[in-house]
Amino acid sequence: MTGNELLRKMNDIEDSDIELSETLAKRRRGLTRWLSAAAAALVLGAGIFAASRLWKDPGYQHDVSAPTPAPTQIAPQATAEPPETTAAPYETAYAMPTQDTPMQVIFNGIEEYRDFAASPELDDDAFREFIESRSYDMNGVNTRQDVNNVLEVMDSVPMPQIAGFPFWRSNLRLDTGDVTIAFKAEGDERHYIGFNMSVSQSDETAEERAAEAGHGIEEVSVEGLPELRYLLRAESGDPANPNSYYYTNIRSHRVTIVTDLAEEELLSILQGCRYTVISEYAGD
Amino acid sequence: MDDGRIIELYFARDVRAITESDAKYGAYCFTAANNILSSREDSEECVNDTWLRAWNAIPPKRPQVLKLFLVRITRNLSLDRLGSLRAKKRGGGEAALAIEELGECAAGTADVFGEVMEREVSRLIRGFVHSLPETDRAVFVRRYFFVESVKVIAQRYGMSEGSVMTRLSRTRKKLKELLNKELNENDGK
Repeated sequence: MTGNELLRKMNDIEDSDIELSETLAKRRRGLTRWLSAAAAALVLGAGIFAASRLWKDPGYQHDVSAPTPAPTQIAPQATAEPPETTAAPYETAYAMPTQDTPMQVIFNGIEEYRDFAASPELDDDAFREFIESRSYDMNGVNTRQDVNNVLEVMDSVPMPQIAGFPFWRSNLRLDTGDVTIAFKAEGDERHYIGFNMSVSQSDETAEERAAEAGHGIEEVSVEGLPELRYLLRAESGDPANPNSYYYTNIRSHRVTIVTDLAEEELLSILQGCRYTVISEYAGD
Repeated sequence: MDDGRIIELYFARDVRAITESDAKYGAYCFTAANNILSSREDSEECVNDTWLRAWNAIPPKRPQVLKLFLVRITRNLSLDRLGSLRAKKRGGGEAALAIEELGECAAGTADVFGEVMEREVSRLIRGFVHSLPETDRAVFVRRYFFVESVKVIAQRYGMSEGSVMTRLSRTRKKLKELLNKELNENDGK
């Protein structure tokens, strides 16, 4: 069974489930409107209350001469610094037992990556707010050290720089040790190329990789592609699947390329492709 | 015009059925097609073909919910066209990604042959989607029925993109477990 067949099979889901996906959004919009109205009413109510108190008792405003209660003595807090790293560094994070929800750090666009990379410079409150607002904390990134670990992993894999295909998104999977970096062409047709790369290094040969991948593998010439150790085309086995799959090794990282481009277009793009690291990525 | 009257127009073989369907659900179906095809021209063609298919199907069919009946046709036509777009070396957009994501769930499952097995898979998926908690279900349907991007889904439900990705990932994992268990057992593995 293939992903394409599953996508087609989604046509058989119940009407009520499709309708739920619409009513839930409407309910949420309704709730947001209700909360806004409630907040506005609360502010208005507070204003009316204050105005009425002022009308009844003009001296109601805070009297600076009135004695104020002594501030409550606060017990001294424990000053021990919490451990800086809450997520294991990436070398060991990959060895963590399988979790219900795979931990992943996703950057939708290079700006998100840059915000993330700059976040250790924020003050403590702003840093915490940033980490929580983007749900990084749900994925094992809680401290500045965690951020630096992620940045280090992201910089350990080659970052393709492809003319006409800006960085679209990346996904670092902490459970599998893979980084997927995807690029999407601008314009109506939105072709894309995804590079799924292993963080760990490997020097396997084309034959070893082909044997591992099984049948339906064809070798493609890497002439003019000095960064690619080999290039293997894999059959998707599904004529309606718009994606093609290629296995390669770039700078000692095993890579699977997924693209909806034709082979000759992909090869031409790979020939013009330069490799850098994400922290030095300069757009397309 | 309400859906009941539009359906009556189909039954009466009145061509206004098509113009009324287009006026009421054209944009809805176009969005569904464009999510899959990422091409204005192809999506418009799919929507036009939708009215023709509906014309041929009603009667004898009498859809319970016209909008969903029509969008299912559009979706099927768009997925059919996706294959031919590939032959023409044109894009896959969000659908290509959705296929890739669902490929994770399908990995390791037995191949499905025959009408009975097809029906079994449909039953499994229908039951699976219906059993999900409401929010997970809605997110899954938006991603894999309407092929919406994670960004759009996040905006729709007021979530962060990370939260949408996490829910989808968790749901795909459950689906993978179900398919592996049910299909591979049926296949005698």
